[in-house]
Amino acid sequence: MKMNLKPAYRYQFMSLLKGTAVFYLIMIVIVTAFLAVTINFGGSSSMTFGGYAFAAAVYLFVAGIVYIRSDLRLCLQFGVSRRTAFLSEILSFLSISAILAVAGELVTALVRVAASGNPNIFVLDFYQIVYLGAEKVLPSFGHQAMSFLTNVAMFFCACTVGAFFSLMFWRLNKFWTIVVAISIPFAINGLPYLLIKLGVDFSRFFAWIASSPFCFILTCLVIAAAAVVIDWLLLRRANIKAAKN
Amino acid sequence: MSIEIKNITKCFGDVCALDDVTLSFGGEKIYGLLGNNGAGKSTLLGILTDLLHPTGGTVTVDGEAVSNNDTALGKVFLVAEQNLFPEDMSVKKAFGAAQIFSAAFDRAYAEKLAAKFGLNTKKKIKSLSTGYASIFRLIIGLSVNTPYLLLDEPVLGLDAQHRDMFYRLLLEKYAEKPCTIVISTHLIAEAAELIEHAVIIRDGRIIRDCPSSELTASAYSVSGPAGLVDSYLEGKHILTSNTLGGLKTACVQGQSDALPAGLEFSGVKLQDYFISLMEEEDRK
Repeated sequence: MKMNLKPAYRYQFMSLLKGTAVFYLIMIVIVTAFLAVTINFGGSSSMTFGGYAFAAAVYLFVAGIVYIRSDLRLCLQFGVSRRTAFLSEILSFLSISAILAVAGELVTALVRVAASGNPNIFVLDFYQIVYLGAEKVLPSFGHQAMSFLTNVAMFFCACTVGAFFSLMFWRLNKFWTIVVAISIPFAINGLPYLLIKLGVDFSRFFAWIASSPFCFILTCLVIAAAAVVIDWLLLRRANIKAAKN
Repeated sequence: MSIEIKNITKCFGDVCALDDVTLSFGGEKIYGLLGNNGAGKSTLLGILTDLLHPTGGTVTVDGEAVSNNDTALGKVFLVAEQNLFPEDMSVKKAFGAAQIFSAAFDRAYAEKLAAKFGLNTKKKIKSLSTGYASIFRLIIGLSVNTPYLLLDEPVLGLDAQHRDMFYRLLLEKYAEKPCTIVISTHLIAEAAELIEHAVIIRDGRIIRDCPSSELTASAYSVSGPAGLVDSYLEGKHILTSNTLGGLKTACVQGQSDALPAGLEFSGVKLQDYFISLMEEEDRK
């Protein structure tokens, strides 16, 4: 059976890339502004640049929520099946995750170069904080490659989980939307508390994740794989609702 | 070469929008999908384009099932009543997207139509008025050149001049590149000239599926003094009747026989037939 993957991927990737370019530009502006202020007027106060990976993950989580619905509508409008549309969306998420991870390595490397010799500027990223320690060290190429892989896994996981929330709320009726919306804060805050009270030891799991970047990558990929499967199950029989207008 | 709909059922919770619908669209004809509000027209068109998943039954396009089939879905284009394009997309970008997805999309023709209708292509889709949003979707539909074109309430919000322009463009397009067109509309009188084959749907069931000429020839209208009309109507299958003062008009199913003196005969138009049929169904 012929799949119309190429046009769907081309459209979805380009549409995600445009949003991502705006996000990246904002990150560059923020970093440049903070660097300029710290270098020129900072005196002895220090600046830590270390939130890129989390900011990008949050952006991709939101992108996952936003793009999946509009992309599916447009694909179906132009005769691309939901299976092809979904597959190309996942490929687009993966591509954008890789691009943002490369861009992250690039921006941290550039900030390091710009800040070289300034003892008040600390350039860190998720991988360095968790697996190398927060000391001011210059990561090797191998470390940067691992940081890239860690970020790709985290970003891809964020996209697919974002898409899960989008599709779940798309499928729910008004009553269940309210029930789930109320339950989410409880699930995030109350459930872990309850489980700890019941004797579930999360510290061992977190220690395992912190023991090796591969453990973190594996965890992200397992969550992403589960999200992809659930996303497809939610999507394959969903009634595609029109946008407002 | 046709769209085959077999035993399609679609339920939304307890509500059955389509009940065991079987019909076919093909032969490069213009079909009219007619029905009251909530009859199931949009649901049927949604199922044909895989926007909605049927509860039961199958839909094939040229022998291939539409569900998860790019080849089958690529042959059908739905000009939906609602917007399926990203809200923040401009008309120009939508044309660009159409070019990415459909090799047969005629961008130059789309731009020409936009200029003809006075549609500003720099505007975002969400900022278009109801009429222009319809025009935008119609332009894409007319330019996409698929073998099957489905139009769901195509003239929603259009003024009389634009409606006339659209009907003429549709006919021009059809004459130039014949394809199978399905028009779902409430404005039957306006579209009647275009419709070759009428499918009448009511409460999710197909109640008529035949050439529109056959439908209009299957009934006639008789009018005259109420007493004369009443005696003429005895034993006949009356679809509808109206009395105004001493004059009565009735729509009768079947072929007209010799009319008594004082009564006038006229053929029924598609809209009159539709209204008569709906009123008859209401009485059941």
